[in-house]
Amino acid sequence: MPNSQLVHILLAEDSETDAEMTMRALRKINLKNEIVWVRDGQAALDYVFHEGEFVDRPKRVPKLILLDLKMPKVDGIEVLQKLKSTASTRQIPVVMLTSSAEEQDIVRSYELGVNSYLVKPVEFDRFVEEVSKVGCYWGILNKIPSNI
Amino acid sequence: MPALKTKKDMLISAGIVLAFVLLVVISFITYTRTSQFMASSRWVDHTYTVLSQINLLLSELKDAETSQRGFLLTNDEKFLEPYNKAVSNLPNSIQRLKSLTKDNFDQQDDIALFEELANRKLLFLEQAINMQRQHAWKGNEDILQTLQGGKMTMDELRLHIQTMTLREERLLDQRAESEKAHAVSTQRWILFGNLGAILLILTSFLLLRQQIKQRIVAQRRAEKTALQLEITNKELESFSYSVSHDLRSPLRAIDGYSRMFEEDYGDKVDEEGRRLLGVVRANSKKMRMLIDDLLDFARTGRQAMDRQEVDMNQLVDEVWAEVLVAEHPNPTLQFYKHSLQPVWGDPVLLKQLLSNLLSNAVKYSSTREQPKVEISSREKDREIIYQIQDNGVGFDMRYYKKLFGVFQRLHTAEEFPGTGVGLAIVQRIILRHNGRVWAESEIEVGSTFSFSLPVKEV
Repeated sequence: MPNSQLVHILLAEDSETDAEMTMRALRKINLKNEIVWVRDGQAALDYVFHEGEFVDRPKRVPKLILLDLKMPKVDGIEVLQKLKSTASTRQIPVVMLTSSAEEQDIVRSYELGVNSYLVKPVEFDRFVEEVSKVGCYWGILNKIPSNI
Repeated sequence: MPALKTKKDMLISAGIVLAFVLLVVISFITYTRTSQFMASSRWVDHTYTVLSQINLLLSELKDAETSQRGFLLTNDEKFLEPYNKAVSNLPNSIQRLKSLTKDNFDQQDDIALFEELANRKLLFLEQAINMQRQHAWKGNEDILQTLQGGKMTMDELRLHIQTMTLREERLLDQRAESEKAHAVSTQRWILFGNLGAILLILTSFLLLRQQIKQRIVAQRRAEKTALQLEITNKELESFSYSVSHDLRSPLRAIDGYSRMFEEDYGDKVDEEGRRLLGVVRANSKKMRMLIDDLLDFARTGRQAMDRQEVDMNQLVDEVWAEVLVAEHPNPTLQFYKHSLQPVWGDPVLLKQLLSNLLSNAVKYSSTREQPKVEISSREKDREIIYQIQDNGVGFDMRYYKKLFGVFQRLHTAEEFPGTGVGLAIVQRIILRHNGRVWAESEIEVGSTFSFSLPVKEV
């Protein structure tokens, strides 16, 4: 993608340390794009739909959304459901980035149309490896419709 | 409690059986008594028949006498018709009476006397008729004498018939009297018998109702306990799941931040600093393994069972290949797999079970010069028993109780790595299959782990 620099990623993650490590892993692959970090599902929805504290943000659509499954207030599943059932946001790639390897969580996510599901490894080296692979694939290699 | 129940059960059964027997006895008594009453009523009829037969005889004799008198007066043979008829009928009538009373000797004697008297009477009648035919009547002394004799005989006959009638009536009275007594006692029998049966049935019914009530209460209690147990179990499971789940995030941070520290400031700390950091990372790794195993353990209890016919030969081959990859055993390791019987169970859970047992066998025999693992199966008492034998370091049977507990280890992590959850998972899987698991071991000789699974219920 020629304008990969312009890609901006929304990271919804309630754990500060996980968020920092994710961002560090993404930067490792020299992804110079903007990463917006929100701490819960409500904030993620507000960001995408220009509501609440994000009512005045510039009209830009994230090219990739990294969603944690278990978050306070609104959890990842609910965010996913809302995104995939709204015409304007349905095409945005959503990657679940979670600690849960539960079959039911995986099944539910795919039923709601998740693009990818990744279980966060506990070991840091593997964590960095896998998150950067996701960033590389979905953020750089993957082609998305130009109207997003 | 169970002894009491059986005693009560026996009481109820005895009551019902007794009531049944009583009813059968009463039915029998009622039947025989009714038959007796029918017989006695036939006897009453019989008595009346006898009495009327006696009267018939008397009236026939009277007819004969009246007819003879008429002839004596008129000398007209026409008057003799009833006489002739009586004479010809009388033997038959007497014979009939005889046969009616053939069971009674007194009456037979009476009838014999009666017959004699009747014959005598008829003889007097005949004599007078004959005299009348030879001589004319009118003051004939002979005839008068004959008539006199006939009258006396007739009086005797009347008297005798009275005796006979009396005797028969007395007989009737006696029979009626004894029947009356019988009837009263029968009535009592039936009444008391029925009352007894009703009482027994009622008692049995009350006992039964009481028992049913008790059982319902016990059942409700059991249901409540089961429900509570289920809720507690679910809570415990979700607790252990969320604990092990939520522990991973801080753990990732510990590992991640120490790694980040190493990356960013590694050149600024000395060797001791890096060693300390290494210890932090090694421990977080160990904790990660513990948590993963704990998650596996929690999952084993929650997963739904999907039972089917499982080819154990194929499953063991599959698991063995995976174990070899994971454990990197000594190349001298020998593996003997005897032909294994198929089993009815959940293939995913059984795979986990075999994986844990086989990797244990490989692990604990890894320090041997000639490590050996053997698996076999046999069927006994509707169970299929599988046996995994190794020639490893074994364990002390004194600590057997701890063997299948969660986080219980009989070896230090330095000797053999592990978290102590594998055998707990094995036990849980076996329990969910309604099977049994056990082990035998001797230190420095080897261990044998056996588990049995029930054959499929048809």
